[in-house]
Order: sequence, then C-alpha cells, then structure tokens
Amino acid sequence: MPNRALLTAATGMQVQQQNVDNIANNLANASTVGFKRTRLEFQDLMYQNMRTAGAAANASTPLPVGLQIGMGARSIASEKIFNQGEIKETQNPLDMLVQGSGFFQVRLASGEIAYTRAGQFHLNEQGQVVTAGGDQLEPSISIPTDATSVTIAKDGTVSTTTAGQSNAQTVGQIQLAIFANPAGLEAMGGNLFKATGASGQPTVGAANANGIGAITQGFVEGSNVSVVEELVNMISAQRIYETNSKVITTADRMLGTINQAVN
Amino acid sequence: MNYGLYTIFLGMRARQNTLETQANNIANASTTGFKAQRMIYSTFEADKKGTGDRQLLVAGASAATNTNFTAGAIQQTGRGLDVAIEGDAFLQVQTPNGIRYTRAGNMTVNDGGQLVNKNGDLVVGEKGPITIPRDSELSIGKRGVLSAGGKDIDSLKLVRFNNPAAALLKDGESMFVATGAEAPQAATDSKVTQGSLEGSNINSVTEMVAMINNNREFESLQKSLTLLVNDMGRKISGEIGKL
Repeated sequence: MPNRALLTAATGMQVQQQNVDNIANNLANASTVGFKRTRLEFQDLMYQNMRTAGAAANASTPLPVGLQIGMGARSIASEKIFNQGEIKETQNPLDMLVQGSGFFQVRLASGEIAYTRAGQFHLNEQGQVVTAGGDQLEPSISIPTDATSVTIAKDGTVSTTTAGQSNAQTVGQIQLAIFANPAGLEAMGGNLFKATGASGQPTVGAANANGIGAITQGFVEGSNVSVVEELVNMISAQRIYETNSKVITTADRMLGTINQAVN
Repeated sequence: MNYGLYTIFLGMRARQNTLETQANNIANASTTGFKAQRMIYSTFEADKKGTGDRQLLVAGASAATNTNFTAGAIQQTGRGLDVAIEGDAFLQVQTPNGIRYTRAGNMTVNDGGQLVNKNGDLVVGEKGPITIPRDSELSIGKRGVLSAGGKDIDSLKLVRFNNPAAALLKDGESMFVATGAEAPQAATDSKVTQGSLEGSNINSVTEMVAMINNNREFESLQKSLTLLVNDMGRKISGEIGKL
C-alpha cells in the first residue's frame, strides 16, 4: 500500500524533527559552562519479510533474493558526548577545571548527590563552597571568613592563608567521581547529571590519580558545542526533512492515481 | 481471467513496493551504518497459452529487494567508542536472538563495563564479550585491537562475507542476520578507525530521481488499466447490443 510509504516517510520526518530539536538545545547552550552536547542516534525499524531469500521458488530453485520492506526510522539514543569543552582562564580562585574524566559531586537540597563538569563555584553566607544554584560541593568544604587567599592543588587539596599567618592551612580535599559509562548519566538540567543504572555507580576518589582527571584552579571548562558543526547538521536535517515530505507527496499522488483509475 | 488486468496489477503492486522501499531509504538518511535497498524486477511467469509460434506468455513483474552494501560516508566524531570500518567487514553483536552483524560502530559501555551497542547487546571480541577498564583511556587500533593503559585487552571480531547481499538479511536496528547461505570469514583487509562513524549510504538525489521515475511508471500503468477497462467495457456493451 502507498499508505505504508506515507507512514514510513512520517517516521523519517519525526526523526529529523527530533534531530532539529536537539540541535536547537545544543546551540542554545553554546556558551553554557560545563555543557556537554547531545548527539541523537538513529536506527532503522523492523522489516516486513514479504518473501524470504533462500525460500524455495519451486522444487529445485531457492529464491536468490527476498522482498524485505522496511518501516522507517526512529531515534534510539540521545548520547551525551563528554569530550572536553574549550578551556577558559578566569583567574577566579573558585573556578575549577577537570582535565580528563571526573565529575564534581554536588549535594542537592533533597540530600541526593548530583554530578557536574561545571566548575564555577561560589561561597555561601556560611563560607561553604556552593554552585551558582546554591548546592554544596560534596564533601563539604568551608573557607574561613578571614582567609586572604584560596589555593586548590591538582589533587583537589584546598588550602587557605589568613592575614598574619605565613603557613597555608588545609581546609579539605575535593573528590571527583568517575563512571564506567558516563554517557548513561541522566541530564537533570542546571548543568547537573544524575547516576542511573546505565551509568553504573560512581568510583569516588582524589583527583589526579587512578584515571581521575586533575583539577586546575582559575580555569573553567566551556561548552563542547561546536557551532559550525551544529549548523551543518541543521542544514542536513532540514534537507532530509524536505526529501521525506516529497515521499509523502509522491505516495499521495499514487493514491490519487488509483482513484482516477476507479472512475 | 483477464491476463492484461493481472499483468497491470502485478506492475502496479511492484511500483508500490518500490515506493515503500524508497520511503524507508530516505527515512534512514541519518541512520548510522544504514545500507540502502534497491528493487529488482524480474519477469514472473503466470501461465502459458498455446504452443510453439502461437504461444502467449502471460507474465508480469515481480519485485525483490537487494541491499546495497557500498560504504557510507565516514564522519569524524572524536568520540572514543565510535568506530568506522573501512572495507567490507562487519562487527559481530550478541543479541538475545542470536548473533547479528552491523556496520554501526557507535558503541557504548553498560553498567558492568562491557562494550555494547545502543540496544545494550554485547559487541563481541575475539575472546568473547569485551570488558573495558574504567580507569584508563581505551584506544582502538587499525586492526581492531583494543588496548588500555598500554595493555591489549582483546580485539573486535570482524567478519566478512563474499556476497553479503545473499548472506545477510536486514533485521532492523541497524543489524543484519545471516541467512546461512555463506559462513562468515575473518576479515583481514578491513581497517578500523576510532573516533569516526559510517553514515547512511543513501544518496538523496538518486532516491528522488528513482522515486519520480517510479511514480511515472505507476501512472502509465494506471493509463493502461483505464484503456483496458474502457476497451473491454465497450466490447462487452457491443456484444450485448448484438444479442
């Protein structure tokens, strides 16, 4: 039935619509610190085997080729691509960059732990290190109110100096989490990710050891969205959308042709 | 039975199947590792009337699908678990329904650290399922050798078929199932490129031209149908008039 072609083309259009939706979100976050772009992945749907290759055409000859009609396409996965974003120097003492794999741990108001690559931290009114959203860094680190400088080492050790003291004092150590499958993390918005069954449980440890990336103070990781790449993908998505709509027009014409024949 | 009508019906049905296949090809223009299908028409002999010189062959077109296994364009992604295959090899995947073959190298890792495809099916290595260490970067060599932290873990099982069009059937989800026509052989000439993916091998221009052509053929058949039906109608009315 041309009807099947109509439905198949509709799946093709839907896939490209979702593709453009995703590109729009990536582009909208081209300046978001710690943002990781999402890539949509597609698969073909099931096939209807109308005649199977290898089945007997008659007693002696098997069919050399079969007739398999596909049902279109669907989006199967939206995969976060965890490539390092561009590195920006800010000189802000509480800006941190993870070089390599590893996520900062953040304790949400609900008590749950979330993970982020956005290393822009601030102090709250009690001197605790928090995200722009006010969620505390985990394990919690407090900076004394009289501290004159804060130094964060590659391994995440935070030390402060206070006026009149020559020796720096260690106030805590930042720990990072790594995942077997970071692509399985669920994006919660607000630059935060949540562990899922697919990502596996995190391995938490000090930075700069056991495959966990090093922390660099005074830098942040920008978005890893490449605007040019997204624009190229957008143009291609639009063209494929158009081609799919031509299929709908053609299928409609064929249905029209049948109606004329019945006249 | 009117053989003309039957021949026209077979022709129109074949064109409908062709449009459905073209719709599926175009819908999968962005599907990683997708292989386009094309229709092959062959003469389908329904009946023979008479013998020798006076033989009338009653025939129509019958359609079959053939998968085109040429390579799709290779796109750079920079992602460590993406692989593109240069050459005719397939990756082998272990699904609950048995072994499947695919050209879609967008792999990922499950919560147990095993290499899987996007449906969660295990990607098979020479030693079976592949477990990736979590604390070091994975690198995949030209021959499919997986190594992490300077140590070789395993290598991707790459297989090929002499005639994939006969040996493989489409199974959906970017995978193929073996028909049993041919046993898979180890692929030694194919090269694996990490950080790249093979796109769909459909060509929109070719598909569009073929679709327009197919539509016109369908219209011609419809015209033949109208002619035949009107012609028959007139004859029958004429015959009835004589009675």
